[in-house]
Amino acid sequence: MKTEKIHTYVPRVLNLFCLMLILFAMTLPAGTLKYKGELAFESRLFQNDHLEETRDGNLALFGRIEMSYRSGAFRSGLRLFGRLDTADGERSLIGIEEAWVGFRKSGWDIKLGAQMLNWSAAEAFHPADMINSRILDSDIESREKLGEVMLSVKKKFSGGSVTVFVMPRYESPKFPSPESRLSFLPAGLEVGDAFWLETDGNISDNRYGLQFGARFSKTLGASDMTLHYIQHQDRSQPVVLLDASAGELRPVYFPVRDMGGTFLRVMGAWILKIEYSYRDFINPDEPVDTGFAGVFRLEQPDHHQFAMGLEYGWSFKNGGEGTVIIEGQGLLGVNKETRARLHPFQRDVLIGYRHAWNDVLSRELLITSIFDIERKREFLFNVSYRQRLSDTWGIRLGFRLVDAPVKQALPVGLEALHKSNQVFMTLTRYF
Amino acid sequence: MIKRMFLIVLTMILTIAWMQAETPEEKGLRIAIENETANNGFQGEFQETEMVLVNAQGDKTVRKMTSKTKETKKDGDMSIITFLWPADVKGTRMLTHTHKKRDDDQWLFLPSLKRVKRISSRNKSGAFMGSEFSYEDLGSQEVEKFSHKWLKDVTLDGRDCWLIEQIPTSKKSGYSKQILWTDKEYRQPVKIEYYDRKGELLKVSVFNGYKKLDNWWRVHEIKMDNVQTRKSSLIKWKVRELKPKYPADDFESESLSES
Repeated sequence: MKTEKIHTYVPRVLNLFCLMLILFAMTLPAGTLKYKGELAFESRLFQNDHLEETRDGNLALFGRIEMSYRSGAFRSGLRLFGRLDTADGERSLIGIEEAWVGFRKSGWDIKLGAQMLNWSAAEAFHPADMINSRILDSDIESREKLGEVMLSVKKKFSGGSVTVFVMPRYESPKFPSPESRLSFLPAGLEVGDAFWLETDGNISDNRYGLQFGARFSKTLGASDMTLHYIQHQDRSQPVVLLDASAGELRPVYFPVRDMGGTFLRVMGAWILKIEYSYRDFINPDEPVDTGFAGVFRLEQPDHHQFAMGLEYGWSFKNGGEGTVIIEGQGLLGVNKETRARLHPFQRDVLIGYRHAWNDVLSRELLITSIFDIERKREFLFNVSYRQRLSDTWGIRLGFRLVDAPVKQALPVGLEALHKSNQVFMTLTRYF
Repeated sequence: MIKRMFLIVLTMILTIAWMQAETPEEKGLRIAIENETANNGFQGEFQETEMVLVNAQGDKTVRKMTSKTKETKKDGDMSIITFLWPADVKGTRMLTHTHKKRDDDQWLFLPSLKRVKRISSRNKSGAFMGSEFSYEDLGSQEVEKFSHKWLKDVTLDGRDCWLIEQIPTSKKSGYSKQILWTDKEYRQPVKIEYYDRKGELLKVSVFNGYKKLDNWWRVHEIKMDNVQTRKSSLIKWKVRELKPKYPADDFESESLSES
């Protein structure tokens, strides 16, 4: 009981300590304080699905502020965002992406607090980028992230580094609301608080526990490579159970060992990108009494996730640039039905083109299509255009089409988003 | 007899002189190497620059950035450019490891995604931040990346210069050739004409405001005129400091995402 109390209090004390340190740090003299931010007006309109339970349009105000402070070897960083959705109140939130204090000297870099990590090498499929929880009511190819509380210790060496992580708190992903058109769950069903399976097979809603790992990175000429080993609570492949008494769904997350890495090589105008992770789930030996949904044999299958891509770029005489992107992702080690349950892009290919005018307005057009090469008729098409309106204003607009009709009794994978076709526009003021 | 001896000696002297005479290519390469050597040894440099873009109608927009450079002994320089303005690119950083005999290594840090992305440096003819400067123009100009040919000695605005023809060795260059007016004292260009792949004059850059910092001459203003589009861009250096000692790991891709 005493161990459990300490286990609970220490991370909370650490959170409060970090926040106080950050605020104190920013009052220190003789340092460098930098900041930037944005305020955006977001709108999206979906094709009418004729369901009363869902909302086909959203209007939201989004804001983000980022500050960093440096004084000698001392560092701190703070990055917060907030969204106020006028149509879907549950989509409104305030999120911490980064809130850390750190020390950097003689090749050592130590940080304590919430961090947002990005371990991506590819453009759309990211088996290796699994640390931070996502906000699931956002673009499926590039989900927004929430900061993860951690202690990270990095030691740099020539052309590379080794980083060790300890993460004491589980950050829950933010599910779409029952009204959202981007939910993978049946319309109108509420998602309750998450439950977490521990490595000893116990289940609870306790969000504190030991997660740890390490990452090695190295640059070798025209190649970059990384290797990682992380033992943590998986945040991307829960088992969802019905809590009948509360009338809501509850995600149950499993402990998992993620082992993998990335490899990237530049070959002239070509870039080869590879991401890989083997997911070794730590499943309970015995059936688990969930307390809310009865006794279940809870299990997630171990599997490999592999993504590979090629990018080719060229310049135009007027200074613009074109880039062709081809990427594929596959889940290996499980059968077809299990693959479809585990990931919406279980055997998919992306073909895309990016055109950058490289002009004063920094205009850019991105066209991508993702299609399933294993399951019939699963297709996602996205067009987005962005440009600067002035030195402080920018606009992004586009549309997305999803064609993935349900083929069996219940939707699987991308089928849950069938005909969630949408147009979107974001107007942003930067400062 | 004396006359014959004189002719023989004269012939020998002329033959030896002819054998030792540089070809224009050899002279061009020698001058380029001497200039590079004269500009080496600064160890590190910090720059704060403002770039003014002018369209054909005369409308102006401004870009601001800082950069820091570290000289390496065995290969080209390493540099990090941090973009300060416009506001949407504030905090974006580009790291370049220049190489004498192969493509440069480049990485881009995208602050909104906290992502360090490796990019190809092969397509150097792309426009830098919408300006008339290409990535190729602003990158480190290693001697090995061009063939050099001395054309003649000239005078430009009262300054003694070598007129040098430079042809990029990379087939991906946006230029078929460049003609440089290289100042004999500054050991750096005061004017460059850029010719496109068709051999037509594309751009002209003029270098002004050379100042001596420690032992090295540094330009403080470059104006680039695109003669085909009638657009222009101007880079001005607000701050230029030599010899700061930057640690090497500041120029690793791992350090790009660090604030």
